[in-house]
Amino acid sequence: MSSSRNETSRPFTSATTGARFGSAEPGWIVPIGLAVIVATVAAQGSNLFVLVFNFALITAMLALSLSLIFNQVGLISIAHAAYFGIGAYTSALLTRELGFPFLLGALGACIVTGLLGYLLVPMAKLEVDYYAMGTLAFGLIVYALFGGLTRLTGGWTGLSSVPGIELFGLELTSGRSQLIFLAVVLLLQYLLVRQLTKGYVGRSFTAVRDDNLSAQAIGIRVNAVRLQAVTIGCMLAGLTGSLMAHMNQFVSPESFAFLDSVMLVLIVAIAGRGNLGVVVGVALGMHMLDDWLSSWPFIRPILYGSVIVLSMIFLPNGVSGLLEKFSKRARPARLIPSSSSES
Amino acid sequence: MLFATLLANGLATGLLYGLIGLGFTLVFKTVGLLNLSHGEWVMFGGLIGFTVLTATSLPILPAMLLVMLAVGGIAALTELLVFRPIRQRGGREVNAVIASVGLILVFIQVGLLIWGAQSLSYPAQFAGAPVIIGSIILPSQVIWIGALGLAVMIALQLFLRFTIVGATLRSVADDREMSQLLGVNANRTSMQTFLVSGMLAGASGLLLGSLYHAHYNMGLIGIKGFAAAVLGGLGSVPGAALGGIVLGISESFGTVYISSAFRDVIAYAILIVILLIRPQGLLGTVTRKDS
Repeated sequence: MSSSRNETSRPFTSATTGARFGSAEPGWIVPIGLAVIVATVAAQGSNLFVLVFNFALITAMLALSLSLIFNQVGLISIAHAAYFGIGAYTSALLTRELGFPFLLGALGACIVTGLLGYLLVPMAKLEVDYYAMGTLAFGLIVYALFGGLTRLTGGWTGLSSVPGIELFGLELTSGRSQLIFLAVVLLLQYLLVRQLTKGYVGRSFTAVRDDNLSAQAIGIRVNAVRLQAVTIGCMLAGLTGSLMAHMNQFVSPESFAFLDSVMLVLIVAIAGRGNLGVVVGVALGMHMLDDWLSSWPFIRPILYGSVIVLSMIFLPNGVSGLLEKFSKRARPARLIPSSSSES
Repeated sequence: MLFATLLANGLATGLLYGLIGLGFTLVFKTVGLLNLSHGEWVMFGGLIGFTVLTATSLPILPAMLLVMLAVGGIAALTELLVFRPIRQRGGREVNAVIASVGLILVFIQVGLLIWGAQSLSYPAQFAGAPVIIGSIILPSQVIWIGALGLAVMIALQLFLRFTIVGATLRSVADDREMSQLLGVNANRTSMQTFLVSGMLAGASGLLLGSLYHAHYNMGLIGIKGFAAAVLGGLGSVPGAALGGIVLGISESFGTVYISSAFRDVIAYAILIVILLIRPQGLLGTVTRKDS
């Protein structure tokens, strides 16, 4: 009841279109699709293309973990590239300076980013929108620190000679071996995030996202749910950062700027809620497109900005919403009845 | 005396932060939209101000009015072309916030394409001997800019308090549902809000440009405006002024006594700390949007 009352009182309808939980795509489609694409790239792609595609896989991982925060619990985080960067620097420093093996470096990255994500969630306490602004500020601070703390991070020139990816004595140096490894990690992240959209956890995420007062009223601890999703999302971003640091064997602040965070928000907003397969697909597609567009640096931001504005006007529920509209499948039960079926 | 100079600079900058924050708050409270691209209107204010002051020989006051109208127009167009369609097509609040992120990208690039990447310094505006109090020397420019910022703030307060439109905006900010029941036209109110908010952003952009310089990338200052508004308690005019002054002074002292490389970091860190510890602000009381 309270959700429908809110909708009339607020100029922007408060939520509930596409209020499904779980992920709409069939469970086999991402593993099979990813396997086919990766096999094709490994067999047919040039060495350069494999390198570009490796970065696309990294982007897809980041989009998945941001999707957990944005699409599942409804917090806008404009600092995802910052967590990614913190993960990269943490892991690079642990392995380079303290001689940790790669896996321990990755673990350290997860712990640091997870902790930071956890500590910043209370910014959403009074007003969910504040979280967007606070994370925006956090991202800018982190970027300035990456460039400014020269002693620790090497400043704008970055950190070079970071140890490569090494698994139990096996060093992954070629682009193709890294491709397979990244694809496996992406798949694992996907399975984890997909699992988190199901069952009690997934339903409580959706409830908090769609109407946190009602969620509170039925006994869901809103803050705990947000903490859970954000911490896991940030840990995954840290892990991804660690992967990138060791894949490149080099870290510099450029990859973690405001624009990169915005780009990730753009991907998850265009992909929309309720379909993680679309998130992976849109991320891979957007990354390849971005790479192709990089020869037009002046037009690129205007193009992105216009696409994001137009898609918010014409596709408020993203590509997932569009798919849902066209799919003939019976819709799963809704947690909160949608406004259209109510009136 | 370094201390007094820093204090005066901090006061003037802080008042401008407060002004930006007020424009921001107005849209947030009245339209219910967190407009992240507010700072880009400030950028347009600074850049258009540069063009007006260099191309014409207008004195500062008419130039400021012209810039306010121009940026108000940009803001109203944004509402008409972006935010209203989103609302009318049933978009959620989050869609509008994301669209405002997209607008940041577009606006920055438009600023870059029209005005170029260099920092634009204004022609000298405020001739006049520096004011000397004892051993303290204050450039007249800082005093003028502080005074103009304060004047715009007072004008806004008078507008909100003593005009019908101002009362309408306040009533919508207070209770949107009730004021609509009493016959307030929601679309017209939004349009007026965006216009006023854009005008405030234009004025603060021109004054900031005059105090420092104008640059296509100055829009990130919107975050500091937001920080000022939150620090003082979102929604109150004196609160925003107070928050802005606290922010401006801590920034100007931090630059000298901590590190100038991390000038912006200080303001952002204050924002995060205030959001974590006291999100209702120094003067605010807790009211929830959805209660």
